[in-house]
Amino acid sequence: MKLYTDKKDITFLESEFLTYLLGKYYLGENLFDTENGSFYFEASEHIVLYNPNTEEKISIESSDFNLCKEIYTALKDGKKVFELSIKVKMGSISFDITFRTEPLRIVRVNAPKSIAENLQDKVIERGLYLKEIYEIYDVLLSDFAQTRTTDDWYIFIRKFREFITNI
Amino acid sequence: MGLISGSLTFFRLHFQETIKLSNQEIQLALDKYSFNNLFEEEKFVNYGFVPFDFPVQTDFLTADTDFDGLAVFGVRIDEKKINKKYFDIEFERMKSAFLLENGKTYLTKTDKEFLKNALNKKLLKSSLPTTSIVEIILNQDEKCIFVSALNSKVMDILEHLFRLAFEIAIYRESMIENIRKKTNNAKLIDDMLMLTPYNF
Repeated sequence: MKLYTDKKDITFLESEFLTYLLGKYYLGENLFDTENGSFYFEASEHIVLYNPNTEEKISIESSDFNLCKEIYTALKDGKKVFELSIKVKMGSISFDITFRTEPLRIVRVNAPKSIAENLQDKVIERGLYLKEIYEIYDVLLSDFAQTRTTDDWYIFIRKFREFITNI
Repeated sequence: MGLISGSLTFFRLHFQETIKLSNQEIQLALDKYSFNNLFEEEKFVNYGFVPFDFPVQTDFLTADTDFDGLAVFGVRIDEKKINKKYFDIEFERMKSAFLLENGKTYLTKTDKEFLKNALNKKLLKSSLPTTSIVEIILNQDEKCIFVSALNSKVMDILEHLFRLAFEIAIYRESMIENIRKKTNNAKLIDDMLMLTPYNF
C-alpha cells in the first residue's frame, strides 16, 4: 500500500540525501540533535558511488574519508552516492549505519552488545538502540528535506563545491 | 538472534491503523496464527508466528512477548524446494512405469499432470524444508514494526500474517513518508515533490 502517489519520480533525492550527508561531514556540519540528546556522525569505512549516465559503480573502502583521493575525484567527476556508511557517536555509544538507495533504506547496523545479564533487559536495551538509530535516520532525513527546499541548499552547494575544488 | 547479539540490522515497516492491544490480546493473536496452527504438510511454504527465543520457547502463553511496551516475537518460514534435475529423473522413471502398466505408448496432458502432482506430493513428503526465523518488534505507539529480514517473499508473508492476526496493513517506508511522519509538514512534502535533480 503506497500512501503517497508521487507526482513524478523523485528517487534522485535518495542519492542527493547521501551526497548531502557526505558533504555535511566534509564541511564539519555533522552535529545534530534528537529527542534523547546530540549526536555527530563521521562518514567512514565504505562508500559506493555511481555514474548516472553509464551506471558504472565504484566501491571504496577507507578508514579516513578525509584522506581518500578517490572519493574527491569521483565527486568532481559528477558521480553520485549510492551507498554510504556512517559512524554515529552519541555520548558514550557508537553505531555504524549503512544507507543504500533504490529504495533508500538502512541496510546494515552495528550497535553495542548489551551489558545486561537477563534476556528481558538485553532485549529492551537493544530495542532502545534500534529505536534511536531510526530516530537518527529520521532527523537526518528531515534536515535534508528542510535544507533542500529552501535557499540554505544553495549555500550548502556553494560551500561543498568550494571544498571539493580546493582539495 | 540478531536482536540480542550481533548485527542489529532491522528493516522498518509501517501501518496506518490504530491498535491498542494488551499483551494478552497480542499473545492470543500470535497463538491463533502460530506456525503450528497454520502448518499443512502438502504446502511448499509454511509460515506462522513463533515466540521470541524460539525454539527455546515454544508456547506463546508462557513465553515473554512484552518488552517494556514493545511486542517481540518471530515468524517461522519453512520452504521446501525440489531439485529440478532430480524431479526430471524421477518423472522419467514414473512415466516409463506408467506407460508399461497401462499399455500406452504416449502420455496425455491429463496423464502428465496426474504424474507430476503425484511425484510432487511424494517428493515433498520426504524432503526437508529450509527454515528461517524472522525476528519482529511491534511498536503500537509509533505504528511501525521492525523486521530482521526483508525481501519480496518475506514481505508477502508478513503482509498476510499481520492482516490475519492484527487486521493491519503493513507497508514499506519511503523517503517522503518518513519525512512526513517526522515533520508533519504538508507544505514541506509538497515542496519536495516539486523538486528536480541537482548537479553537485
